[in-house]
Amino acid sequence: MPHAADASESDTIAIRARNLRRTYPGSRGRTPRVALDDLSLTVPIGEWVALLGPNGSGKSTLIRLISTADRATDGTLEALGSTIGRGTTNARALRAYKSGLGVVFQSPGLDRLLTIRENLLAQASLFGLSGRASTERIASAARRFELVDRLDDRVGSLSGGLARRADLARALLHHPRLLLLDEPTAGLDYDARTRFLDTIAALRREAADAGTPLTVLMSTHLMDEAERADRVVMMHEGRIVADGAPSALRGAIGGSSLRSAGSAAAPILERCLLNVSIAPDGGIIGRSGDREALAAAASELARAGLPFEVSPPTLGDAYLAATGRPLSEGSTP
Amino acid sequence: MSASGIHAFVRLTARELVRFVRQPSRIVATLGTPVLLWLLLGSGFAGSFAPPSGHAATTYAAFLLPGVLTVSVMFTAILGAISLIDDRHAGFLQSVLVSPAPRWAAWGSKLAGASAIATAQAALLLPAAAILGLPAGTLGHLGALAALACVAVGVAGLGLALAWRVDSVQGFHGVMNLLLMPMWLLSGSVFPLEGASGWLRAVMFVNPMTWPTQALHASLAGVFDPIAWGATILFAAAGVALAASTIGSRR
Repeated sequence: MPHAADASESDTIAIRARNLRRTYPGSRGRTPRVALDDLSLTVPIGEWVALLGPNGSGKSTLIRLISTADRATDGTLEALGSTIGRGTTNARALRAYKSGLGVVFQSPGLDRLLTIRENLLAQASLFGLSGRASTERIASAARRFELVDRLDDRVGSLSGGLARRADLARALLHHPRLLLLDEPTAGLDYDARTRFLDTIAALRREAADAGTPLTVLMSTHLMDEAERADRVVMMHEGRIVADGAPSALRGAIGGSSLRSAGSAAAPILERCLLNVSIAPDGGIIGRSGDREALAAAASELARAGLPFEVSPPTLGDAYLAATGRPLSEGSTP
Repeated sequence: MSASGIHAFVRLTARELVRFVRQPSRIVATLGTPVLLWLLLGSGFAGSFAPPSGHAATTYAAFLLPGVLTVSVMFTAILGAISLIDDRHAGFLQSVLVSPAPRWAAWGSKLAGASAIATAQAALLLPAAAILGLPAGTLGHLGALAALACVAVGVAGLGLALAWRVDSVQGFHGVMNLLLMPMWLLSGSVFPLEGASGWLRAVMFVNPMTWPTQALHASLAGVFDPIAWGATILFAAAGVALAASTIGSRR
């Protein structure tokens, strides 16, 4: 039987994962790969949560489990009031859960040979929408996502940004309560990414105003995307290493960062008692909550003729502080 | 079987047909290959072929027609099944599987779409039977069409079950060529079952493709062959069962 989650909980909690584990069997005698390791996470209804981590950190695996595209090896997963994955045997309850779910995977779930309208009609049929209901939903989605003039264009002829908007329209056509976005802006330029995230923010506001809050779980490896969320969950090697509001995560590491391009800066920063790390671009980063130490380091660098800049900590710095690895570096498989 | 499930099935089947029409190269390849095979083999063996006693075909081109129809259906049904791998890579399959639509609508639409396209395409070649002097008649033509539909369903089901397990189009082609070409060559399509040597005849006898081909031969000769028909329907049912058991259950 699908276990209906506790009634009072299901009113406030969209996702609750407990000790979730997913391992993939190793091929040709290799040891099994652990994609998720004892992960526990609770997402209240209406919250926008960004899963932040490099490739291989387990973000997509978690989204696949919640989307029912995969099953956990161990642990329990409840979403929208139903137990999903392991323990779910009732097909009707699973269908009810899926009816409230919208998913945008890394590859757009659109058929490139079909037009946007044909894709949306197919999507509508998958969610039991037909006739006038589907026509009205498609017209409304086309207006919402500025696709009216392109509805009869084949998806294969669209730009990346437009195809992503069409994919988002597809995922939201049935008015889901939980939206899962797995690296939804992959391959888009900065403007298209910003526009996509603006749309998500607007959708959430509208849903909240209408009294039907939309919960969003989005995976990303980009700091600026994660900054848009209410909450950032940092992942590393299948585990959660930090969890909180973006400002809280940045604030938790304290102080400021001092960055210099030259490798000669490292010993100077260390001498001034700064926490030193190497950025993905090879630059040297010194971090400290002590203003005097930062000022001393700055004057030492200036004396040595090394250019530098001082900036407030970023989510990337917070990730580095939590894992010892920069965000752009993949997890060890 | 819910109304929404049927609606999803119909919509997804229509998608298969639209996709086929929008890929002209696929139409040319699946129709051109058997016609070319027919022209080359039919002309090459025209002088050396002696029809088996009691067979309706008096020329090799006429004898080869059921085989050409069969191979046309096989090619087209297999290409339809391959589109499952394309759907997986493109992300479309994933969006179907995480939707509340029943799993049978996903595989059923693939099976129905591939089978309908394959049968319709072979039907375009069917009028050649009258031109070649085969005494099929209306009932014979309908019987031939039904036998071709059974081949299409059986092969598409087999192809879908394999495509569900295999991740690359190249791998799929390799396995299918290894399996389907011998099945076709040893089905009585290219040379008659009656003339085959002892061991080869035994192999042809257990080849599941032999019986739909025999049902086709019989139908185009205006004859009803109950044994061939029984095996043909069984072949189609096995294809459906294979697809259902492989894709219908969770991986």
